[in-house]
Amino acid sequence: VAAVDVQEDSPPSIVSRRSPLIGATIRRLGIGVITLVGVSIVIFVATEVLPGDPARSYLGRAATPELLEQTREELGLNQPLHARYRAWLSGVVHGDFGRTLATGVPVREVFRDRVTNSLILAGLATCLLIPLTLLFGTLSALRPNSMLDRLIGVSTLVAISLPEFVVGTLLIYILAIQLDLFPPVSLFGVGQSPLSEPEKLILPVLTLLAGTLGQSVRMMRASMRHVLRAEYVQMAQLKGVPRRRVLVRHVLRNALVPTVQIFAQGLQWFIGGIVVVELVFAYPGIGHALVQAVAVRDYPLIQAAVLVIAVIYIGINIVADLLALFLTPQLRTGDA
Amino acid sequence: MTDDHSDQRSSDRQSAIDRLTTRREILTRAVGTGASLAVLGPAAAALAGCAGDSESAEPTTSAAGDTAKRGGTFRIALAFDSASATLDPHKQFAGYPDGCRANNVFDMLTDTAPDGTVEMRLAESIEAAADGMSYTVRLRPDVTFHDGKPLTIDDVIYSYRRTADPKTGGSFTSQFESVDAKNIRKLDGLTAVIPLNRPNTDLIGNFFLVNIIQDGATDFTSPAGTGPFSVESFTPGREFTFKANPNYWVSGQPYVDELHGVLIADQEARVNALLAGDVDAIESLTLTRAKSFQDSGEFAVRALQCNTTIPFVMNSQETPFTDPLVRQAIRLIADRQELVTSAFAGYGAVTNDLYGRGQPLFNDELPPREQDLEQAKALLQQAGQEGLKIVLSTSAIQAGMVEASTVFAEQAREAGVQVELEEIPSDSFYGDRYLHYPFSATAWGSWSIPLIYEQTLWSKGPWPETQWKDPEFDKIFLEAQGATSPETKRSLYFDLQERVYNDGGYLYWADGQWVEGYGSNVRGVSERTYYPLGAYDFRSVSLA
Repeated sequence: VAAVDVQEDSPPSIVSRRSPLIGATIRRLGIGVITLVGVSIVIFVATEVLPGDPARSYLGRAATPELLEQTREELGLNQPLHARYRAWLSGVVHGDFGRTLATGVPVREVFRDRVTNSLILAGLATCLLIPLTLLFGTLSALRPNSMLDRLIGVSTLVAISLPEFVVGTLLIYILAIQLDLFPPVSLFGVGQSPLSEPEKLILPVLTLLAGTLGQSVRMMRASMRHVLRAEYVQMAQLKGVPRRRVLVRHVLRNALVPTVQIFAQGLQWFIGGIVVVELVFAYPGIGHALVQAVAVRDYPLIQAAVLVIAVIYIGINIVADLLALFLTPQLRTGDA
Repeated sequence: MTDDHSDQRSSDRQSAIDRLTTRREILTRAVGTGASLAVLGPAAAALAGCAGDSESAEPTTSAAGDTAKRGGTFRIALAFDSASATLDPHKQFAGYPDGCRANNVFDMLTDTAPDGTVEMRLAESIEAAADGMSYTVRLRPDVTFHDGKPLTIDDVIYSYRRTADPKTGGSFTSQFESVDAKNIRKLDGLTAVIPLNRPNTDLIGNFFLVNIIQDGATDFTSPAGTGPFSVESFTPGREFTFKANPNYWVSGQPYVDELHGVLIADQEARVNALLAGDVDAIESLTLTRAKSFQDSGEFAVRALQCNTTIPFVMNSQETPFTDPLVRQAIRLIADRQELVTSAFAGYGAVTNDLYGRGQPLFNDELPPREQDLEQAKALLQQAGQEGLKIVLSTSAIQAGMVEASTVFAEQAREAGVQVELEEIPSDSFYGDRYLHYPFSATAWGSWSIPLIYEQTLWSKGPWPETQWKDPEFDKIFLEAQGATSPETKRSLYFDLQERVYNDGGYLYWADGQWVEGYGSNVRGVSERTYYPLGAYDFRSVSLA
C-alpha cells in the first residue's frame, strides 16, 4: 500500500536528485563515444579484410597490373591502414568524411539530402508508431482473448513474419497497381524534399511501419498485461478506484518504462528496414547509398554511412536509457 | 545526311520484317511456351541482322522523320549505376551508364549501325590506306561544341592520343593498341592521318568507342561535347539531366528537349516507375515477367536480339582441357535450349560455339551443335577421362550466369561428368585468378567479331580467356585484321571461326537479348545493339 501511495500522492520530484541524473548522462555519453570509436575501427578493418578491393571493382576486367597500381595510388589505398584511419578520424572529428573514391565528390555532399530524406521517412513512421502501438497494445491487453485481441495478435504476427520487401511488394501490388491509390515508386530529384510530394511517402512509411508495429504492439501488450496483474493494480481496483483512473495513473505510468525501450527498439528496426524499403521504392536515402557503396567498395561512403547509422543507433539508445532513468525513481537514486 | 540514311535503312528493314509477320508471331509463341527458338534462331538472326527481334512494334518504328512530335523530357531508368561514375568519356569503368552519358554528351567519329556496319558521324569520311597501315580521317566542317567552339582535328587527335595512351588509365586503351598515337599527323584543320604499328583494317569498327573531347580537356565536372545533349546536372550514382543541344549537327535532332536518367536498381521498382508514368523507358526488364507484361499490354516490351553472351570458358593450358577431345566433349554436353530457357527465360537465341551471329563477318556455314551425350561419353573415353570431375568457377556478375552454371552442372551429370560449382564474389571474379580459371563462366557485351577475336582469341590480346596458343591461328588472325580486300577478310575470318568451332575453348551457348519496357508514347528508339536501350541513341526519340 505504501508504494502505491507514494506513487499516487507525491509525484516524483527531480529537483533534489538532479546530480545523479547528470552523472548518468555523462556516463552514457562517454560509453556512446567509446562505442563509436570501436565501431569506426571495426568498419575500417572490415572493409580492409573483405575480399576484393575498390581499385579492382572500379576497373573490372580492364585491371592491368599497371592500371591497378596507378588507381590504388590515386585512391590513396597504398598507405598503411593505420595511417588511413588516423587521417580519416581526424577528418571526421572536424566534420569532414572525406571524398568518394572515384569521383572525388565530398561524402558530405552525397549524404546531405539523403540523410534528411531517411530521417523524414523514419520520423513519419515514428509519429505513427507511437500512438498506434499505445492504442492497439492497450486495447489488446485490456481484453485478452477477445476477438479484437486475437485479430491484433494474428495480424501483428503476420506483419512480423514478412520481410519488408514482401510487405512493400504486396502493398505496391494492392494499393498502387490494383487500386491505383498511391504512387508505387518514390523517386525524388536531387535537392527535392520528399515532403513536397507527400503521397509518395505513404507506401514506404507503411512498409517500414508494418513489421515494427507488429513487434511493438505485441511487446506493449505483454508489458501492459504484466502491470495489470500487479498487486498494486488489483489493490487499487479493490479499493474502488475508478477503472479509468487505475489505467492512467497506475497501469500506463508503470508500463511506460518498458514502453520507452520498445519504441527505442522500434526506431532501431527502422534503421535496418530503411535499407530494404529504400531499395524497393527507389527512395533516395542513406540506406540506398550504402547498398550502392558496398557494391563498388567505395570505402569512404561505406564508412560514413555506417558511422551515421551507428551514431543514430547509439543516440536512440542513450536517449531511451536516460528516459528510463528519469521515469524510474529506483534507478535514478540508485536504491534499486 | 548519315542519319536520314540510317533511318531509311531501318525502316526498310522494319517493313521487310513486317512482311514476314509470322516470324514475330512465332517468336512470341516460342517464348511463351518455352519451345525451341533453335529451329528459327539462325533464320531469325540472318533475317534481322543483329537486330530487330522486336516483339512490340510501337517503340521501334524507327523513322520518326519530319512527323515526329518535338519537345518533352525523355526519362529513362538505368538498372545499374555507380557512385564512381564519371563524365570523362575515356574512363568508362562504370560500364553501360557511363557509355550512355558519354555518347549523349560527346559524339564519335563513327557509329555501329544495327546491322553491324560502320556509319559516319563526326567524320565525313575515313579512308584506310592501301597497305592497311593508316587511316585518313576527314571531319564534317559544321560541328561546334556546346560552348560554341568549333570542332577541329586537334580535338580528334587529342582524343585518340588520350585513349591510346596507357598512362591515361582509360577504359578502351587495349582496343587501340595498334595505333601509333605519337605519330598522328595533322594535314589541315579538318584532316589527319592516324598511322598504325601493324596493318589493321578492322580498327575502323572500334572508332565508335572514342568520344571526341576538346583538345586539352582534363576537367570533366561539366564538360562540353559535340553530342546531341549537353550536361545540365549530374549526380553520380543517382541521376543526370541533359538538355538538347540546339546546334546539333543533325538538323532537327534531338527531338526531345531534355534527357533525364535515374538509377533504379531494383527491377520491380523499375517496372513500377514505368507503370506509374514516372519514367518513359526502362532497361533490363525482369525476364521471367516480361512475357506477362507483353501480354497485358500495360507498356510496350521490346526484346532486341544482340550478341551479349555468357559463355563457358575452357582454359586450354590446364588439364584436362589441354586435350581437344575433352573440350569437344564438354561442348556436346550442353543442352543449349534448356540453358536459354532457364537462364534467359527464353529471351535468347541458341548458338554453336561462335560469337557474333548475325554480323557481316559471321560464318553461317557451320552446322548447329546439338547435345549428344553418347558422343560426349565416347570422346571422354577416348581421352581416358571417364568419370571426369571438374570445377566450374562462376559469379553473379551478369544475370543468368549462376543459373546457367547450375543447369550445365546438372546436364554434365547425365554424361557422367561431375561439375562442382565455385561461386566467386562478383567484385573479385576478374581478380588475380581471371584468365587462369581452368573452367569458368564469363560475360561479353555486344561487340564486333573482329574486336572480340582480337581481345579474347588472339593469344596476344588482353583477355585470352581460353589461353589458346596456336601460332597458325595467330598468323591468320593478323592477316585477317590487315586484309584490305573485303573478300579476303571474310574468307580469313570464316577460317578462324571454323578453327574455333572445331577446336576452341569457348562454349558459346546463346546470344542474349536486350529486354526493355517503353511507355506507349515513346517513338523512334534506335535499334543499335552495343548498349541497352538502342545503344542509348536517343537522337530520334520523340514522345507522342
